[in-house]
Amino acid sequence: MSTDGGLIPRIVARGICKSYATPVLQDVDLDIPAGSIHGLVGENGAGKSTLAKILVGLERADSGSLLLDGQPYRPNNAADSKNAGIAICAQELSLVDDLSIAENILLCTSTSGLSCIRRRSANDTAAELLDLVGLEQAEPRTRVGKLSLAEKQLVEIAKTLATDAKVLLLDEPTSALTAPQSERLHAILSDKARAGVAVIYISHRLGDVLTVCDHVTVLRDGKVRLTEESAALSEKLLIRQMAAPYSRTRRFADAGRRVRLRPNHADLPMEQSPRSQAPFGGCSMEGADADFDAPPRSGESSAPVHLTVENLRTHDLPHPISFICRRGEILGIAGLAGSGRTELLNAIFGLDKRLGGSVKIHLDGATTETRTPRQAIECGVGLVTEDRSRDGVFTDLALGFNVTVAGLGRIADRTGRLIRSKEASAVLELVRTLRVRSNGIDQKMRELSGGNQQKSMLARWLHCGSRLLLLDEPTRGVDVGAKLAIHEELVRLRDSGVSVVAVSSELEELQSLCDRILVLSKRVLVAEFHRGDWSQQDILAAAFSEYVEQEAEFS
Amino acid sequence: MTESGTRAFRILEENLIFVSLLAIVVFFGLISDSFFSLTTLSTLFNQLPALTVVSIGMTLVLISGGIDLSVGSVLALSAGVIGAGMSLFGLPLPIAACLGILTGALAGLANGSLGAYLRLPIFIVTLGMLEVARGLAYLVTDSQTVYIGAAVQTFALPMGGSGISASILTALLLVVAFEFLLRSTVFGRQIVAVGSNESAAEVSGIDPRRVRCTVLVVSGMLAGLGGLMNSAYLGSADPNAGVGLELSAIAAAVIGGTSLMGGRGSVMGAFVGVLIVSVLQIGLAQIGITEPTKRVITGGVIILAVILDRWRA
Repeated sequence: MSTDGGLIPRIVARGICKSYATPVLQDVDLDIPAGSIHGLVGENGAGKSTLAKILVGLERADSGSLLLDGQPYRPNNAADSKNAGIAICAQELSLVDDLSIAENILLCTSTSGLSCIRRRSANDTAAELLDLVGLEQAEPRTRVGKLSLAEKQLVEIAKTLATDAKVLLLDEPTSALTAPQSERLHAILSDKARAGVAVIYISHRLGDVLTVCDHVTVLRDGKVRLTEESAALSEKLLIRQMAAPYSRTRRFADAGRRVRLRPNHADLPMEQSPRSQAPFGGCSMEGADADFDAPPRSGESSAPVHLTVENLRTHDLPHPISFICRRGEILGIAGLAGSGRTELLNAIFGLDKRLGGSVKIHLDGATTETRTPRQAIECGVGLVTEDRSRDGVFTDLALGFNVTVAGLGRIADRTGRLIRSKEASAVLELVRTLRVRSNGIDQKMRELSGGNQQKSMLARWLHCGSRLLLLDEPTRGVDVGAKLAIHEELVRLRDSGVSVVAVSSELEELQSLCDRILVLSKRVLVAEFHRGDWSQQDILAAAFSEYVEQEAEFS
Repeated sequence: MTESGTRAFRILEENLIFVSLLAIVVFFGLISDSFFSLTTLSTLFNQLPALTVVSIGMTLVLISGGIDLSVGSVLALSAGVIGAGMSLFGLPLPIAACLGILTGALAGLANGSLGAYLRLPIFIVTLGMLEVARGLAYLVTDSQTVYIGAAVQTFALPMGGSGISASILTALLLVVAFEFLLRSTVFGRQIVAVGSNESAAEVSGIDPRRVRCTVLVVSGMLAGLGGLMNSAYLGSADPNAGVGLELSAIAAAVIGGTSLMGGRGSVMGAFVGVLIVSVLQIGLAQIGITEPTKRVITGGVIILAVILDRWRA
């Protein structure tokens, strides 16, 4: 526990314990000096978010003490921590959809409920902050509800920066951001640290953590495993420390770097046995060993077409988009946040009103044009949305309900009566296949971790027997182990003839999974890359291509 | 607390409304000599059917994330249609009853089309319907109680000396049927899904508008049936029937564990809620509590139910 030569650390935690049903945090110590950026990593459920909530008074520790600048610090609620100078950028965004960007930012800076709102100055402050985080194109008077998830995340960050905090806490601040946006945030954080702010940075993106943080603490099962200078750490080391002994991730970390992804891998044992020592790819680690060598799928170009999108246009996608996806193909969609990736998936699924063009599903020799989600689902299409809590899971309802809700016909008789035993066995089987960790199928969804929620979203479509999966950020905010499991499942599905269209902000994820990548730039489909014929630079260049002209005008 | 103690406590907690109902019954039984009597029972049996069926509809609407404030007026309108049909046009009971229920369905369809398909706030739409249907009820009955007589009363009279009327029997059967619908059918799941998270339901291939509209139509039909039950008990159609009934129905649903935010609730619970509300009313009247005080107490019980529910969740 180094405290940088005699200085009183800005924030100190000693022996923090917290239990709900089971212990979540056990005896956690933390020392963070002013002017440093401290990384906090661990699998989902390791206790990172709980620790953050305790620091800002949203939860209370069962035992242990906190010191702020050497003084005892006992926050009872968020207002206490705000007054003490601690600001949090929470993983679950805390924005009010019906207020403007400026008003949202104002909410957390204004000190008294009676102080008048000076709209002009609020808008100016907001504009400055938006500029800082790289959202300069947004108008401060825009209603937050109209923003995309990535834009909301940037507003949340701006809101956190608006307070003159001594301690900044960021919980997964980059989960919806693209690489350039994250880099911008990291530069801001470095500036803040130079100005004497203590920053706590929680993230699954280990590469980012190592670059931006001075020190890193690894939590595992609620205990501090390790606190070390970043310079002395590597991603592999972090993963090894994060992974529980029985976990696959550890074996993965120990496994060889170059894993082959084979199209017909009867010889790849991973589906059979969780003990197989060559789980699929370094893909799940951003940047880490992602350069594995995947030969093109045999007969790729001759596989029958599964999805035809023709001149598709919606309100959010003004330029017609056309492409196909072949059976058993994983088709990636890359692009910067706000480039229309989510809108494209929604349009294919039929959620957004179509202004032109068509979506055709070719299945078992028949071609069907689908217009509504219901029709799409009947044609074996499934959509996993980007924002789980908004339009993915039913948080207050049971796991079983969540899995079967889109395919109730499969557990009902002809009259529409549900057959419980059928439901239970169907759900149990999927839960087992996807290794969803829960207390049973009746457990409330909100009690599951992000990774397990995401797996059950996949289970929902597997239950329907979907043959074409539209996945929007399939591994957003899930831990390393769950991410790996989801990737494995996708490859297994692909090899069983399921087609996948996947959107991801992580280029490495797309590169390791996909057979082909389409690039959207400013709502235009600008490029197509084939496996083996792409480089990160090329894809990024394409993603930026439609924006370049505009920037040239400004500079 | 010992393990068995904890378990007993949990069982108590899970069955809180049954325990409350029992407590209320015992309480009135102890302090009123005439509580355990045939009069009490017949008063209860007369009041119960209409409130029960209306509460079933309300529960479904609340679970779907909506609300139906028009049920009391729709009940009066349907009663008026039945009364006018039977006394002015001499229609037989079955046909008049169907017309009454159809009237309710149409009111529900109007609510549903405006609220679900035109996306107007359902609170305001049904508030408007509350006035519209009440006005129509006065128009249909010419603002007077329409005497119908024995033809309709058979529905509310005990059958074959069993003490159970067709009215009560219908209400009980509907409670069971709708509890089954909610728990064990595809449509029941869809109602819960829409009320819990409308966007997620839409992504799951459920059409939220259709579900919301359907439950409002069902609620209207049940209010229409309530109109039949009400006029069967009175032997006449009263255009002032069912004033404030929407509040009793919401109260019964909430006492029975239905969330006003949608996504959670039970028809069986609502029925126990109906029993609690009714028994409380009758018991308080019997021990000489005045009408204003009765309202204060009933209101307090509703708030208490919500507090207990929040504390349990």
